[in-house]
This record gives sequence, C-alpha cells and structure tokens, in this order.
Amino acid sequence: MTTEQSPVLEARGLDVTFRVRRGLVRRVPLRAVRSVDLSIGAGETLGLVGESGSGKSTTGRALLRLIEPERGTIRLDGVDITNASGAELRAVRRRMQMVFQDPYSSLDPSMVIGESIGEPLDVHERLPAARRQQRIIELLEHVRLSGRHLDRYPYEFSGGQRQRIAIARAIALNPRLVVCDEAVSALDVSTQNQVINLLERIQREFGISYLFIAHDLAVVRHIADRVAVMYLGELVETGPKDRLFDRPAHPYTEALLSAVPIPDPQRQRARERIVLQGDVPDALNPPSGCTFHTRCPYAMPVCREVVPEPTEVTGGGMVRCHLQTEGPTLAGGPVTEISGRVSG
Amino acid sequence: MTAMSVAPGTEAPVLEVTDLRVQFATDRGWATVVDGVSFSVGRAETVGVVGESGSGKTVTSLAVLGLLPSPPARVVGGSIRLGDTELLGLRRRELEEIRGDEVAMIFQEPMTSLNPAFPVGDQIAEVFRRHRRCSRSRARARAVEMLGKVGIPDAARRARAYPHEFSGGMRQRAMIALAMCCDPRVLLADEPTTALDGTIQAQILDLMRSMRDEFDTAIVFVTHDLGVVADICDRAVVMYAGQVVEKAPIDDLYYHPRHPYTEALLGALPQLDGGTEVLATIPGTAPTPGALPAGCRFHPRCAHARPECAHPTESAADGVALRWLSDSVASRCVRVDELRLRGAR
Repeated sequence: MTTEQSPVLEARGLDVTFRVRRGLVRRVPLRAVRSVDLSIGAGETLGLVGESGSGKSTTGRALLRLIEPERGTIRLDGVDITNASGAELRAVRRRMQMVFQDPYSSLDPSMVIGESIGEPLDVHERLPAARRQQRIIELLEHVRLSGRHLDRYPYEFSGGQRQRIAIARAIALNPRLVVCDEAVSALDVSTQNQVINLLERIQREFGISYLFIAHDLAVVRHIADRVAVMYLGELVETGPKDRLFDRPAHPYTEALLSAVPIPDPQRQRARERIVLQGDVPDALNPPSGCTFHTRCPYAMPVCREVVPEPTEVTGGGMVRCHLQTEGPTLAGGPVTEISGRVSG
Repeated sequence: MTAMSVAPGTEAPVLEVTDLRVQFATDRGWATVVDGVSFSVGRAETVGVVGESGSGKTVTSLAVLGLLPSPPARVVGGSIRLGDTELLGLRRRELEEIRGDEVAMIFQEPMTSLNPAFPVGDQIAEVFRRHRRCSRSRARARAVEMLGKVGIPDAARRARAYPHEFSGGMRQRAMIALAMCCDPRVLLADEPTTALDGTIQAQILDLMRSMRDEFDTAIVFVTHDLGVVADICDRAVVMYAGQVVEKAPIDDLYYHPRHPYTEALLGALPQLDGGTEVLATIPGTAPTPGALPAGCRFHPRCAHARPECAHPTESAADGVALRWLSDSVASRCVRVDELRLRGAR
C-alpha cells in the first residue's frame, strides 16, 4: 500500500469479533473482521467492496470507534486512537463522520433540518446564535439547498435531497474523513449521480477523504482512487482502481466483476461469465486455508490447507492468493492470464 | 407446452395488456398512476418493464395479478388478456384459480411468497395440489423435483426445512421453485434480484434463463436495473410518470433509443470500465401523479425540449400519444422524427 506523506487514517491488523448467541446460553465468537490493514490518504477515496456479510460495514464502524475492535491499531493523522476515550474520543469523532444508506439514520424525522444540521455544531462548537445560523445556511448551500429549507421536515424532501441534508450534517464540523456506507445505494440513477457529483465536489473543496463502502462496482469505479475487496472478513485484494478493475489479481475480484451485468446488450451477450457456485460460507464456521477455496474456480490442494500471505501486485496493491506463488505462479500478474486455460 | 419449433415471440402473445389505467385515492381525489399502459409477452420471451421509483412499473405488474389493494387502488380501464381469457373483471375465485397456476410471480423479498411457519417443500406441494388436484405423494414428489431443478442441493432433505434455514439466495431459488411448480404460462418477476449480492444475482439470472427455456415461460421482468435488462430481456418497455415512453427490442433500445428519457437513463449509468469524468444527471425530479406537466410529462427535465413539447398533441387529449415507428419500436416523444439520440455506445 502506498503511503504518500502520512495517511489520514491507517488501520493495522484490525480484528472485530462478535459474540453470537447459539442456543440459550452458549455464545460463540464470530470473527467479522480479520487482520485488516488499510490506509486512506488526504483527499483520497478508498472504495470498499464485498458482498453482504463480508464485514465491510463493520470495518467502517470499527474505524470510527463505533464498534470496539478486538485487536489492531487505528491511527488518525498519525495519532493512535485505538484506545481513545472521553474528551479525546469526542475530538476524534468530530474529525470522522458517517453517511448511511438511509438518511433517517442521521436525520430525526421530528426535527426541522436546520436543527438536525445544527446539532453537531451545538455539541462541538457552541457558536453564537447568528454565527450558528449563518453556518447552517452555508452548509445547506454547499449541498445545493438554501436557507429557505431550514424550517422544513425531512419528509418534505425527496430521497436524494434527504441524502444531501445528511451530507451537510456530516461535513458540519469539517471532518478529515467521511465513511459513506452504501450512501447512494437506495437512490434512482438520476438522483444517485447528483449525490455522487456532490460528494466529489465537497472532496475537492475541503480535501475530505472518503471510505466509500458500496456493492455497486460501477459506482466504485467512478468515485474511488483505490479499491479494497473483502471476503468473509478479510481483505483479499487492494489496489489502484484501474489496475484492480482491468487486471484483477484475485479470483474473487474477477468473479465479482464478471457478475455485474453491463448495460450494453451485445457486449453483455459476448462476455465470458464466471458464475460462482454456492453461497458465501457461514462466517461462524469459515473454511480452512484460503476462505474462498470452496467457491474458487481455480482452487488447488494447497488452498484448502494454507492461509495465503499478502503478495505485491504488479501495478500496485496486494493480493492474498496461492496462484501468485504456486501452480500457475502469477507472480504479481492478473488472474485473467489463466482464465482461458481453466475454463477451456 | 409446445416444443420450441417456433421462434420466441412470433406467435400470438401469451399475455396482452392494453391501455391499462389504474388510479389511487388521495386526499385530493383520484390520481392516475398507470395511464394507458400497453405491452405484450410471447411464449419463451422476456420483456423488461423498466423505470425509476414511482414510474408505475410495480403497480402495473400487481394489476396484472389482480393483487392491487382496493381501496385505495382501482382499475378504471383497459384489458389484460391471458391467451383468450380476459382477466379484468374476473371474480376473486376465478383469479385465484389462475394465479399460481397459469400466472405466477416472484418478488424482491422471497418472504412475500414463502410462509415462515411451514416447511418449504410443503408450501410448494400445497400450491401444486390446489391447482392440479393430485395425491399428496405426487405433490410432494413435484416439490422435491422443483427444488432440485432450481439447484437446491439434497432437495429431498431440504424440502423439509423452513424458509429461515435457507440463505438469501436459496430462498430466492425456493420462491422460483414455488412459482414454477405448476408450469405457468406467464411469470411476473418484480425486482427479483435487486436485494441479492452480485454473484448470487448472476446465479439467479442464469436460473431464470434456464427455467424460461425449459418451460417456455413468458416472463415480465420489472426492474430499475438496465444491466439486468441487457442481460436477460428480449424486449423492454420504459415507463415514466405512469406511462410507457418507449418500447423496443433491447438492441434498438440501447443502441438507438427513440425517447430522450431512455437516452438520459443510458447516459447516466456509471460504467464498469471507467472513463467518465463527471456523471451525467437528469435535472429535477419525476412529477407526482397529482401534478403532471401538460404535454409531454418528461419535457421539464428533457435536454431536447422545445415549446411545442408542453402542448398536448391532437391524437392525445391530455398529453402526447405513444406512436409506433416500426412494427416493434414505439416512442412518446413529440420530436422523435427530428432527434438523433445517443445510445449505449
């Protein structure tokens, strides 16, 4: 992973474990996030993709200290915040914010939107009334709304507008990082793009970094600088987006990309598709060795036995896959080099 | 069912919806949410009904099934023909005979169809027995056969499992088994893959394709996802503000769109292979049924709008008429003859 200057956010060896009730008294550990290393630079967008249950939302929440990690360290602007508490944690929180899929997760339906946006200012800044009002109007204008919307309730807005209001609230305290958790997933294409363009403009203006969690890979390709792919709680591949989308090094990344139907009928018909067999395994009982081996079209005997170590990929990033070092020995090359051989 | 000797879609349609009009009661009187929708589906053919939220696509599919809650909804006009049978005006009992037998449906949320209190196999067997009046053992065998066909491993044992014991993808498969057990002539699928993960969506689309080809089912596929339409549909109907604005075979629709709304939707899609600097947007928001613009309903948001677009055309008293441009392509654009619209490439 590249580290220009010092990253805004850096996580090393992050583990999150939930205790899940099984039966009446028994509680078993579910390792939702396992040894995750990631970093996000200033003004950079890291896309985090993976299927439901892969641990991407849990990762986002653990980075913000909304969930306590079991192991690992989290650094914000070089400062270890893993064990921050009290006033220190409050200071951390104002520098990292979150935007959810459902804007009602951050907007109180019984509160006019001016108050919702003003709330973080009240908690952290205590501005005089006139300054506070001015700041709220500024924030609304940043998201292409205006002062005349101040006294309206969330239900009076369209879905896209509500998401813009949630963004105004998230940027109220000039955060260093915003975690966007499926922030545009519930919107129609036409409004989705308005919100994406807004996020990009805010990033240019304020230099905010994003962790952009999403399942829509075309949206991630557009908005991200680098991408991390999660499977069963682990990062299986990371890299600059063009390298990762054009030359995926992990068979799971290749399969995810292949599963996206392209809105172009002739190209879609002509594509060679990889349809993975079976479901994502139970996270309570993950497969041995490489956790993807049960669904991997290229699995070798070693994959059942040994956990793959991260390998550097030509063109940037890392991958955890035995194909890199054994069998076809891609040695940093893309998995697409062997696709023909295996499927043919 | 007949053998695959005739090309799909070339014989008389299996399902034909003509000039369907549906209204909903609101505080300010009746609002027309489906306004003169017509489309047809042939044997072994898949027709996409595409639109954004509020376009009327789901209301249309529920109307076909006679599943609209009344009140607040009422069907005020049109015709829904299944072969030679007119479905509008059928009594509840008669519709129940047809539903699940000749016309089946699958939804985004499998628990809409599956009852959490009964084993999956029992539910399939019950539907089969109700429509086919066969023995219990015959119905059970059919349930296991169908679960096997939709790719559920160890079907005989899994038939005894409850829905909550299935994963999301497996539940979707079970719902498809339930829908297909009576070999329906028409399958209505309303966003059946929208809640699924990418790799599971790909599995379910493959399964629907193979079921369609095995049973020669006519599929109506309601979706907002133009990628899914390109993957599975033969033709598509694009809806906006309660009306069909364009219908065409998919290659025509994607490469030579004939309505500016279709063009705008295609132009707004982020591309998996990248290359877009700024994503295109469609200005404004879709109108609500109570506040429809005069003339073309899309004109306030349309990049190609001219003053004449705000006036009703002679052939349609309250708007713009859908006009056939060839035997398979129709558009509701006033300026369709002068515009050269951009397609997917």
